[in-house]
Amino acid sequence: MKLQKMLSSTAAAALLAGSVATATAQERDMRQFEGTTLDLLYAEISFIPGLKQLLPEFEELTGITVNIETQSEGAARQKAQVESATGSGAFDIVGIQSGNLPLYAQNGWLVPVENYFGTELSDAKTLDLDDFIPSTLDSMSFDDTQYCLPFFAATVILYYQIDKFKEAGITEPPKTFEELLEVAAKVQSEGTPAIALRGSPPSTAGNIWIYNLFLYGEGGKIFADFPDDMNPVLNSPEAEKALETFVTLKRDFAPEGSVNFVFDDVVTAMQQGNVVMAIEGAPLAGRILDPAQSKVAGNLGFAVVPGGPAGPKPSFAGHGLCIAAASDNPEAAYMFLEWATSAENMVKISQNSTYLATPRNSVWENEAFKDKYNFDYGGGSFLEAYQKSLDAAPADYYPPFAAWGLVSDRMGLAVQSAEIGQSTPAEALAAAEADIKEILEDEGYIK
Amino acid sequence: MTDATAAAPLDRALLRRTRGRQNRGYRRFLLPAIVTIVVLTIVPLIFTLGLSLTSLSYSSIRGPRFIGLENYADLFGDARFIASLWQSAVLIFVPLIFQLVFGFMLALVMNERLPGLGWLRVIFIIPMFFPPIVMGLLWKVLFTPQLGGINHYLGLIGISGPAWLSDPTMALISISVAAVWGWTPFVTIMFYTAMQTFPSDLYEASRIDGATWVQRIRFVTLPLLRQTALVVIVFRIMEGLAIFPIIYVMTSGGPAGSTETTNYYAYITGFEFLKVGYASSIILTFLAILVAILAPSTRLVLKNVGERG
Repeated sequence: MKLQKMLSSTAAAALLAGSVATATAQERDMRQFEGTTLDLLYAEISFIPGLKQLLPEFEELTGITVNIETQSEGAARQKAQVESATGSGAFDIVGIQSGNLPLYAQNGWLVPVENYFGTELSDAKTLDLDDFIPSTLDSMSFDDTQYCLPFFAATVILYYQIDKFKEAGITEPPKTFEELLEVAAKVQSEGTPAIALRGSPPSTAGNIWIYNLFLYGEGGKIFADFPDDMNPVLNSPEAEKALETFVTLKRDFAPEGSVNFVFDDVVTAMQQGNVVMAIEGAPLAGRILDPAQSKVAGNLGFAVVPGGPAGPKPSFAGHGLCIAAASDNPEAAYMFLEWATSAENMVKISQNSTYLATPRNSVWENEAFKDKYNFDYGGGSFLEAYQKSLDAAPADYYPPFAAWGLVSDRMGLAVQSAEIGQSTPAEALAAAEADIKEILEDEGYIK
Repeated sequence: MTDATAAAPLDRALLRRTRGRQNRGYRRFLLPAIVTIVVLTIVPLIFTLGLSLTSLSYSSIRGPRFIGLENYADLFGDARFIASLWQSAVLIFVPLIFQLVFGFMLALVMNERLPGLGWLRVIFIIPMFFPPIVMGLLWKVLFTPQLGGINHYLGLIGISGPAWLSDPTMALISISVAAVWGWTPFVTIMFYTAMQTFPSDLYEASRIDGATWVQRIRFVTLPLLRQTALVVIVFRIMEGLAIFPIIYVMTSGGPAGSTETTNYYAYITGFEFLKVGYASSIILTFLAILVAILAPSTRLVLKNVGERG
């Protein structure tokens, strides 16, 4: 099913790329929307600050003014959803995480970017669809329609302090969950907990972003057979084992209060050397190793996250820029999107900020990019760990359907409930399964 | 006394004669206020009521339907909703009790006009200047172990501090602490200003009768404060919902939903999950409960004010 979908979208992309090549023989009129103003709304994730710095270039090129409004991840998502639902037209361009795309697509809140592929607004060389890592392009499409252009390929890796590992006599990073628990017990010391992991549940960027890698690694599933049989199967031995591992790590080996950790807290803990290990977003390496703030620069190792019987299953999400259906200037918005996500700009942004989560192959190959981000302090190469993780990450890590937010929130509560000892992992999962079944019945996904 | 009873019938007769003319005069001036209330309160309320009777949810694959009272029926089986009601009650009434006690004590201290301690009055009301969101951030910093807040100082004196924000009960206590800190000044000021109006002859008389300081508070100050206390309680319950930003910042309703109040649950359901119909039924039910609690006491307050005036 998944393979079929990926093949078809790749084929569609190839076809489009072909047609684009012929269509853009004539020169584009870059200044046809001169004087237009575009508003963009998204979270302050890396890429956006770097993009802001480049705006004067776009303005000079096209005469279009772009205002970028950023908020915290949750606030931006809620605002975008509410504005979209009411059709307020408050913004022309919206950033979306792949887990949220089905909601937008299903409600008709977006103008698919593919509507403009091959038109006179598009330039095949700038767009260069073939250059995108296929899974990232796929994460920004729904029902075989390309809705958005990806700018961010998110996955997680295992970060660890090389010297602490050496002191504990550990020669290589843990490959399985059992090894992870063993290593945690060995490296933990008074005042320095072994590992930092997210704990706060709300939204798709919370503890489920991490818990699912244990769940999938154990061979567990959320649904009986997504998307054909949407009955939840969280009350399984695999899910329970995964939650037990997660809870043990959080209760015995994580910093005090980490049940409320969001990604910022994990980044800070790792950056300041307050923990020995962290499983956190690879795109955050730039911040963790930021020379101005980091206490672990030069001492950090990188590895693919440990796995279970099903192997390692690193988290995966794409982030993309999309055109709001309520925009008055969708064409100008498209021109901006194509420009913003071009390989040339991604290289520039990788240099002017800590942005490295590029979905473009050519940027990965770029010398300046490699120079800046190929961290290797003797504990494995960062870019290699990142690329391997992207390869191993399941494309549908977040099952693509509109009610995922509801399901992941309920799962997040269950994980937290087990973590604080309010219920056992088995009880928490059984309760979550029952509630999720009800939610999916309410929303019409199961009869 | 006889003067007053004689004047009453005369006033009434005068009123009757002038009523017709007055009506035409003042009604016109009420219009802007009525329009404002209708547009800003009644219309949205009716709209919300309408939404609460539908299944509108943007993550549903079925379109919205009219489902009558189904959302309301669902509420009774929704453990998260029931828990949120209990947590709302805790987070409204627990801080309220402490606000009343501390507010009264601080007002007493201010009222004593101790020489050289005028600056204390300023210190007492400082928390009032903090917007709730800043209050929440401040206390979050103090309660978060990694940020070296309260537990750091407890550690210095050999006490291992509790898991403030990561244990369900402690999280409720932590938010209550922030709320007590933030809104006690309001209670203090209300009590203090009321105390300023108390006739001093009552205190003098009680002193001559040999009442101690404690007895004067018990038999003079407290009975006189009853009216103000009632107003404060009504205000604080109404404003109890203002605790929302503090929850948002300090715990986001966690851990595991243990600090989720009903308005927070409605907010999450509406804006995060986009289950608009269900969220409307949550907030309207909560509103109905609040009105049921507040209506009698509000009437009492208004009646007393009317009698005084």
